Amino acid sequence: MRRYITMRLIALVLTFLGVTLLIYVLVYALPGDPIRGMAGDRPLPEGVIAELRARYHLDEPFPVQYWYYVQGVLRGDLGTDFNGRPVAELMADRWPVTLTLALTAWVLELVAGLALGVLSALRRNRVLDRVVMILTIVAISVPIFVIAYTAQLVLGVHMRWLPISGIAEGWPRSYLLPAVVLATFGIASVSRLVRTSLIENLDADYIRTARGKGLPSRKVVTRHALRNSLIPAVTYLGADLGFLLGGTLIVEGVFNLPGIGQLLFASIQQQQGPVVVGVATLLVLTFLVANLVVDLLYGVLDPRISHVRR
Amino acid sequence: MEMKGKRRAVVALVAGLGLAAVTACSSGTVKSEEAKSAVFSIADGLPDHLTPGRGYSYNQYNALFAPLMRLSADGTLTMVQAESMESSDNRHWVIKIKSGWTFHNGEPVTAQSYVDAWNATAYGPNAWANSGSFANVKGYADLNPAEGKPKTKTMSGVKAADDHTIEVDLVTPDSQFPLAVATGPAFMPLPKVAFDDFDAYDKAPVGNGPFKVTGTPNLTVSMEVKRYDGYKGPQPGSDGIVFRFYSDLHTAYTDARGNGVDIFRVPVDKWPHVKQDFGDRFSAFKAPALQFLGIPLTDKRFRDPRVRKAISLAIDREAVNKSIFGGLNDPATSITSPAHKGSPANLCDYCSFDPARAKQLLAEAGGWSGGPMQIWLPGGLGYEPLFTAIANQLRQNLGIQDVQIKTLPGFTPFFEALSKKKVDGPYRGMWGSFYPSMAELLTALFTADGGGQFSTGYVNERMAKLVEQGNASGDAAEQTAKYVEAEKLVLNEAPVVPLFYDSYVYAWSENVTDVEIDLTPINITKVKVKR
Repeated sequence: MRRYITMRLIALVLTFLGVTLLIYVLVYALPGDPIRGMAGDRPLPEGVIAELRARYHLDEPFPVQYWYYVQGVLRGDLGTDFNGRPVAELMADRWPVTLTLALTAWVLELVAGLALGVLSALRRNRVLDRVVMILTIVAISVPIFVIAYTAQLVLGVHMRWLPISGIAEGWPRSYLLPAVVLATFGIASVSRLVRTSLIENLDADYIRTARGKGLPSRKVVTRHALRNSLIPAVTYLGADLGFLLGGTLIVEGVFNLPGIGQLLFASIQQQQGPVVVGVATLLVLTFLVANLVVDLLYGVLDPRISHVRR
Repeated sequence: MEMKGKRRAVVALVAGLGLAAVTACSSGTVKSEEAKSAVFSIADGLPDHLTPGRGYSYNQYNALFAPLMRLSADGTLTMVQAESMESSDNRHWVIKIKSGWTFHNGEPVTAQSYVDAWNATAYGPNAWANSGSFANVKGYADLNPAEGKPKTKTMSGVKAADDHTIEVDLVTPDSQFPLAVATGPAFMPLPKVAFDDFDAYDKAPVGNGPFKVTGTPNLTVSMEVKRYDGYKGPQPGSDGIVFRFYSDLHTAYTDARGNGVDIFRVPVDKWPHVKQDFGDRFSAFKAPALQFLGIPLTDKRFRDPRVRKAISLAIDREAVNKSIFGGLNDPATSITSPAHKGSPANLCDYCSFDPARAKQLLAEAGGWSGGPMQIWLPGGLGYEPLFTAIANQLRQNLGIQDVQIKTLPGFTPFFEALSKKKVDGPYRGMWGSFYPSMAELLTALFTADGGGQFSTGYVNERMAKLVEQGNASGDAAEQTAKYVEAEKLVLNEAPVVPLFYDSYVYAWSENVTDVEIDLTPINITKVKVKR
């Protein structure tokens, strides 16, 4: 077990190095001068452009630029954006927003998805099951933009229940609407996964045996059937945590939440190398860590899946 | 049993981590106090620099700093911090400032506050964005040598004669200089504390304006400014402003419909709906700004002016304006717009919609035989519908089979393509004048170093001479006559295709009244909050 975790951690470090280099290359390969682009429609004297390029090492060849960056990272300095703001500070302001959003959405997926899945499996082919399944189809097929704008117009503009944008009212009010929108797809997927696999297990021989032995129905469902039905859902939820963190981009944009997705999007547009590398690398690392945790959870849920070397 | 305990522990741990993270993250929330006092909000992009010489965050500069003069929507100048600005030869300018005004920290605003600020902005190694505002001031070149470090830190052309008198010497006479001074953030003063540490000052600037910062703003979610009680200028109609940062103004649009944010710039694709959604609570200010099609003049397919005129005559500007801009822009009838002081507009004889003449001119020029015609633009910024419409019109009205739009991902690669001369077709061009002077627009678009990246690729020395003569004249009628003559020279050769005069479209919530949109663009001292 320990050996397994060590190997995975070494892989993490290697991934980190590879990812930073790769992203740096990609940002560097974008055509054009980011300083000029930042001015947009407004004029910027040539002297100012030259001075700023020198200040942020944009006038140096790629290996030198990357070397400056790696040197900085080794000293714990993630660099600055082209307005002189430290990347670490930018990320520190924005990570909490994205984490809060993603985790709220994730918990919603977990709770609502499980509940709906179990309910519809137990009420198989009855009205409740049918309604839930139709709703999940809608949730999966309607684009997230449409769900987001509809939610804003109905719950924000017309009913005035929840704020439309920003985080001024804090958690939970400011995060509820975007988290629900972000979680719709996941809730639908989780409930379908749980339903299918729970129905399968409920028909299995060992459940019939358990019932035959006279175990109470609640115990049969929770202890035996449900536990074995969770593996697909856990796989999904584990991968989804990483996806939620990276995928908050659209929701952060529509609901104007100052999170990491917004920062990443703006930085790519402006070719802010150090910011893009910092944000993207952290996203990749989070994804890898989430995957590691899920893999370890498998072993707990199903002892047949084991990472211990026999 | 042991396995079960472990399992429970893991589940509990995961749940606990999740909860802890959620609650920890939510502790740093911002409480809104707007309801209590007369504070309104402005939807804004993230500010780049809060020091006026350094960036483009005009809303913040207008709140924190008072200009020497103010240019109203109708083009008249009124004194604010200045008492007078005069010159007998348009070269040597004397600006008197009012006494008794103070910065937010109590320091008196003196002529030296201006001289120091202007020198810092113009000083090359500082690399402040608005340094070009002083390009025509004597001594600017010494602060921006082509090679090496400058030997001095001050411009010889800017002096404080006494505490309340600033004297400025220009390289070439410029009758339009007061307009530049009134509108350029670079002409704001800086207090002594700014010079201790520019970067520290930039985070929490001390200005001379109607509002002041409280603490150090965190530029992530919003920035609040409060009324400055010691302000000697026209008193603001509110107690404070919250600048709320939006990455996408479409969200601000929805937010303002629910009164969640008060004043915002309307994204172009919403212009056709703004009347329906906001009724009278919107304003389209006719800005001194020109949207045009640039033409790659070095490309031989476009070398004949008749081809360029044909392109222009084939575009039905009225129809495009209606469908794309909801009629809120104006079709261009000239290069300078009626918003440019003195411009008669209507100087362009190839800007009307006349498909028959367009086809005829193109035929006379030998027709189009260069394969597909591509219209180049920076993508993702909302320009696609406009240029798609124009491409359709060129296809229909000129009979060119294949007219496409060529979208590059954003401004950066677009400028790159322009500067490397890779652009092989008409391209998106735009110039918003910093002040409503015909000379400004003509200089920016058609002189060698007028606008840097936005040069049209067309330089006309004779035109530049005429503009210079206009600038030197002390008589308004003679100035205009010279500028008109200059503009006619340019139009003769049709180096650009004028499209529209641009509007600044802003809308506001039910919480505010007295919203005036002008060149600044929001007259924030006037805005009143409904109780």
